[in-house]
Amino acid sequence: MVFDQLTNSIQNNLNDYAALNERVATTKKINKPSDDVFGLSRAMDYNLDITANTQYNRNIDEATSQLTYANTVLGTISSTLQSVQQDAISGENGSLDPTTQSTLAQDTTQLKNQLLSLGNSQFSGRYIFSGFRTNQSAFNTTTYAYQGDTGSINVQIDKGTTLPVNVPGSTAFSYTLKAPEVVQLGGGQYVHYTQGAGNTINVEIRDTNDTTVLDNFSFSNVIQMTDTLSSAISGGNALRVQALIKPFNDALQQVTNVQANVGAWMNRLTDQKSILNDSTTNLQDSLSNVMDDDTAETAAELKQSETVLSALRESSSQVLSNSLLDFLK
Amino acid sequence: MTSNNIANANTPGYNRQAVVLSITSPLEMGNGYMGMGVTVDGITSSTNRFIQAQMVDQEQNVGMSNAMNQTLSQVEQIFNEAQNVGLSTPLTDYFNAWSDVASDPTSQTPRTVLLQKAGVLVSSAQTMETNILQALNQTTTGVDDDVKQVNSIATQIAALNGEIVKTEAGNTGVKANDLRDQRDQLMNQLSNLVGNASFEDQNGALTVTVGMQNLVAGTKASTLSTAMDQNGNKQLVLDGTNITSNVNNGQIGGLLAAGSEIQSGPLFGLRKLIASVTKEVNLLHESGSGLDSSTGNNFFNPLQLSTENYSSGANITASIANLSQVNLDEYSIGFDAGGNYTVTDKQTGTVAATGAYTSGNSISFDGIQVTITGGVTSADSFVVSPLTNAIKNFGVAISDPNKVAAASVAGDLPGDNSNALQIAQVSGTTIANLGNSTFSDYYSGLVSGIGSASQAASDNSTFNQNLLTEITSQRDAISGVSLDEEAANLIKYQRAYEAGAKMISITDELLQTVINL
Repeated sequence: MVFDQLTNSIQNNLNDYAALNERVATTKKINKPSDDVFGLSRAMDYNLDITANTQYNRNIDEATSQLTYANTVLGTISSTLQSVQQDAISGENGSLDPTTQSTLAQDTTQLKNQLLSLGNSQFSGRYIFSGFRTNQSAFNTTTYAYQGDTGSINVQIDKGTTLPVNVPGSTAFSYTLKAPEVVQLGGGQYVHYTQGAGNTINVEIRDTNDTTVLDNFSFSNVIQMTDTLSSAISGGNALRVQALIKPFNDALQQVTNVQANVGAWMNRLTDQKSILNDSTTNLQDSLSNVMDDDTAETAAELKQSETVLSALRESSSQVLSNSLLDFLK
Repeated sequence: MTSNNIANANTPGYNRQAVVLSITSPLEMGNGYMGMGVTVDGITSSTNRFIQAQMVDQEQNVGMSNAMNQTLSQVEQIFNEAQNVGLSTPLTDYFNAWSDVASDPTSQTPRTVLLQKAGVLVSSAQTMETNILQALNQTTTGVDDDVKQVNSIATQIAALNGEIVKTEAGNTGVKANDLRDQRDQLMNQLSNLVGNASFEDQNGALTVTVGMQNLVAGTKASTLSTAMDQNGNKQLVLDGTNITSNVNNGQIGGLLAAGSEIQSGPLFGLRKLIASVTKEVNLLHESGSGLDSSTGNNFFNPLQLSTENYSSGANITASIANLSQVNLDEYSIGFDAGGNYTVTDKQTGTVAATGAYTSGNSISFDGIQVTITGGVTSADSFVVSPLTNAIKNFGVAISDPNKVAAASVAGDLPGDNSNALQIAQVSGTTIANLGNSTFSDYYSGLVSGIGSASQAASDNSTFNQNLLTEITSQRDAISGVSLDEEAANLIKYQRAYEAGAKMISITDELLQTVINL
């Protein structure tokens, strides 16, 4: 009976000792679900959120690099458009000397080519202004027509929150008119701007009585506008040049708006990233509270358990060796 | 007797015996009575029937809780998320891979990574199922082994019954102590194996019942046997009667309980989770379009229905008619005497469809279509399950990264990531089929379930073991052999023997004196 009790006690203490030892070895309080069912279920939730945050962070990094690139490109487009606008204002006057005229025309052609190449910018092999058609240049290199779509590529930056990482060329390079507009030029002629299909804007220049149509043309994006401008300057078509001043203002405004949007998205990403980082830090703290063992404390308990165990062994050998038979000699 | 006690000091279940001495009837002499010495009246055994009964009961509890504990802690290790073992990481990795595809839909790399992560998810789920099935298999083979032992013990008890009755017959004072100790010991072993009840008749024979059927009656031992039922559960049969539902204790009871716990808990849950992942991902993936403009592709192998046929002559075929309507429950189909069929949802207990049975006509319910052909009786039944093979058939159906449907719209739109984004977001949305929890929450629930079950089993086992230790030491206090006590007895009897010898030698001396006169 004494023997059984002793072996049981030693066995129980050994079990405690082994459990403490495992905690020290893994530095974790919870080593299997049944150690702390509720704790582990919380730890799993924390882990899940941490993994999700890591993924969102990765998405944000990817989105940030794409948007930063788009933002730079949009900035260049904006300054290019300003130069074009300058050229338009310079070419407004019909009585230019031929040299200036041809220099101006060459300059606009140059700017048009620059806009075209900006429009067909690529980021890691993808055309950034083509919408979903990332494998296709956004603008046709001969007709300058937009050949992308209006697809907006979204990435997930938080549970249930997505943010676009692209601006389709149809938005960045074109503007739309809410209502037909009429402008009277310096010479008294009237210019009618009306919205056509898609992004097309039709321009009609009428005489001072606003009846006879003197000229008409249309465009659907800034590249086509610049192209028209360039040929108008070289052809000395002062009316066309004048009629194009307002569209360039509108287009520039549109680019500025788009750029502001992209800037806001980038701010959003920066904010979100810092929120996620804070949240991850908190989650890691909570996870550590649930899972991580206070090693110093456990080591102390381990020592205590060890002492108890050796005391028990000591006393066992004493108790078990005592027998009346030893004294009956 | 002292030497017998000392010899059996370490025999388990041995009860200390003592000689009952009494005065031999004195001889009447003319002037009084002359003492005639001592006689042995009998040998008593220091047993306490009440403690023995408690021990038998407690052994049953210990056997049950130990078996539960061992089996469940084994299954717990399969779900040991504390050591990052389990499905949590592969599952989140898989959906994160979709998120990466969404961030960079044109590139091949995230698509290839996605297919790899899907492969890891598949193999993890399959390994887990295999391990669970192994644990389940161990419970059934464990029951078989235990049944063999039960039968051997039953035979021995029956034999001992015979011996005890023979020995004690007619002699009221004589108790077959050693045989009874052996029988008590066998009863302890039997109780550890299987829940039982027993009583002793006036002749000393012990009747043992298991699940309300006689296992041992007098010298006759019945044979316990096992069989498999329709649902693949182990059944116990004694004397032609199925006693499974009455056996809740002992190792066998524990193994049976652990087996059904595993089936209804982790195994069912894991299959449902995988079936749900397959369903939700496939539904979205089918609607999307790949880089090669292909559409309508399954991402995972499509869910397949398994059918079980419990009829004499009819056949059943089942297929999924509308995946989005399948609610991932199992169904049983039964028939009444009037030739009507009833389809019952096994999980909710509700009737999914009912009507008059016509051989060959299809029956539709919850997106599933079954066709039964042949004659049926009210004894026939069928089971249709989308879960049984959910993990076995689980696999990635596409191997070409270009077929990963990241785009929602067919056409040459490599930048379209909306479908990938939608699939990535499935991991965060609640799924109606999983009781409106997300995949991760549902899985976390499974882990908590098995953790709690294992914890309860472990606590139970410790408690019962402690109680048994307590009862054993009480028994030992009464019935155990104390070597010190026996040594003292030994000296006492030795001295008495010496005194007797001295008596003889003095008598001898006196007689010598008389003879030498």
